[in-house]
Amino acid sequence: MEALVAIIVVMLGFVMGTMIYVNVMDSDKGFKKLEAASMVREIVAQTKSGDDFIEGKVTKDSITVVKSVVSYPNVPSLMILSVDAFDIKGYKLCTYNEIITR
Amino acid sequence: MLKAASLFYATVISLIIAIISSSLLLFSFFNNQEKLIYSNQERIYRNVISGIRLIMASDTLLSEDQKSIIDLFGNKADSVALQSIAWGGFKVALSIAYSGNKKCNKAAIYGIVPDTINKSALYLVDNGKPLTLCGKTFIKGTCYLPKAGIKRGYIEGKNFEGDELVYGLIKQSNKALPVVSKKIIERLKSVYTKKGFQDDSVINYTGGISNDSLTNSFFSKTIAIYSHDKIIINSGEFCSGNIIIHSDTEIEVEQHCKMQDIILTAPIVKIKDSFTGNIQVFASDSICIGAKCVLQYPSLLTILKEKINNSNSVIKMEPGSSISGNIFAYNGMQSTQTQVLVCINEKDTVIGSIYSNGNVDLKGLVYGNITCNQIMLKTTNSEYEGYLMDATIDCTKLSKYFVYADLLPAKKKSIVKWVY
Repeated sequence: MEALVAIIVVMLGFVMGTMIYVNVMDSDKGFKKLEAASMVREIVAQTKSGDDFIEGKVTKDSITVVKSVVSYPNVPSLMILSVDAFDIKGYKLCTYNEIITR
Repeated sequence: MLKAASLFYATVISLIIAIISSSLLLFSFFNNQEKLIYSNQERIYRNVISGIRLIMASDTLLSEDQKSIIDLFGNKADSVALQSIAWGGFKVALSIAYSGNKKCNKAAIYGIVPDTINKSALYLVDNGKPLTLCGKTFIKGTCYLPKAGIKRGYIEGKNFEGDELVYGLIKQSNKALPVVSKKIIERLKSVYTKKGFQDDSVINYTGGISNDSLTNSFFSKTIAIYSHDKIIINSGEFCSGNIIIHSDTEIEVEQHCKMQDIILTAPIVKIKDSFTGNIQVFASDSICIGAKCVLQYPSLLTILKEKINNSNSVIKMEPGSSISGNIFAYNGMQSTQTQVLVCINEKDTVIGSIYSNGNVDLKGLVYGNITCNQIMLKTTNSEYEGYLMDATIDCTKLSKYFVYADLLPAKKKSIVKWVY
């Protein structure tokens, strides 16, 4: 009887531990987010250095990055640069907003 | 041989699994927290910089000296508190961004990016007389000159020794200088009248600066040190930041005191030999810079003559000194009896600009621009109008990142330096 209870306890422990491990690994989009952040930074740097103020969409490794550039209201010399990164399911991984000079 | 205590072993194994699982949960939680804090910090820092750009780009969006809360991207998540305050000839942009209990603030002194006339080497008002060059005078860059033009001359036993009179374009100047707006003159006047102190913390000067050092942030109220009598800033004293030192008579700055970003205002300001620092000086009568002084970027020497008296108002630099910044001499009286004079001696260097609606006596080097009503040359024997001798004006040696004081109209503004 004692052995049976012990087996059940150990099995329950292992099952719960495995579930926690799987859920933690699954819920954490850390790597994807880091990859998305890196892509966003690269696009922002290209936009600023090359004065490339054209809206666009780039997809790479199941991450879609959408760039938009709009004029700042009532200040013609400024623009709002917005860059958003999404995963394949449309979940927003990273967002970047900055006011830049024309 | 193991004892039959399997339940005990099972409990221990379960406990170990529980500890490992909860550690994993905690690690994941703190990892996510850390990432959130980092991305949040990055976002509020970006918002602060965006705020500074907004202040510099828009004169109408913010009222001067008033704090405004602006929703940067219209999403009610990125709000910043912005303020632009006049700081002598420059302006200071203050930007504070919040997110939860996190706060980030930045302050920057900003000025104007030189355009057309400011980018030229020389703008001399057309008063009907030509500009005459003698000795080793060298001018490089676009020049706005009178209709009478430019010619070689012979004075004090010296002929013009160069190959060309001007290494650059020659354009015709107008009969008046580029206009300094009334708003700017009023702003400068308020610096050296006590009117400007009404919102500040005023300290009466009694023989010295407390504890030999005084620093003040631009996010705090301005500290105004005031005395009716002469103020002597002694060697070893240190002043930095949001501080105005005002005397009703005279200020004297000793050699070894250290100053950074502060404003000095008095009818007469004397800087002793070999001083090094970064200051804005406002005087109504005269500014004397001793020999071998180094006024670091961004310094500003300003004479604003508002009263009729018998003497000329002078900005004078003794030989061997240098200034990186601006020299501004303005006679508000429109009187021809007394004038303002900027006197740059041999071995002096000006990196930046000189604006004078009176005379400029140039014997040294200017890497930048001179805009003036008249050029004159004083020698031991005589005084010559419209003559340059052994002087150098080269606007091509000025850095493209050089930012002028906000005194003349210009389209673009830029950061001079970050302050605290």
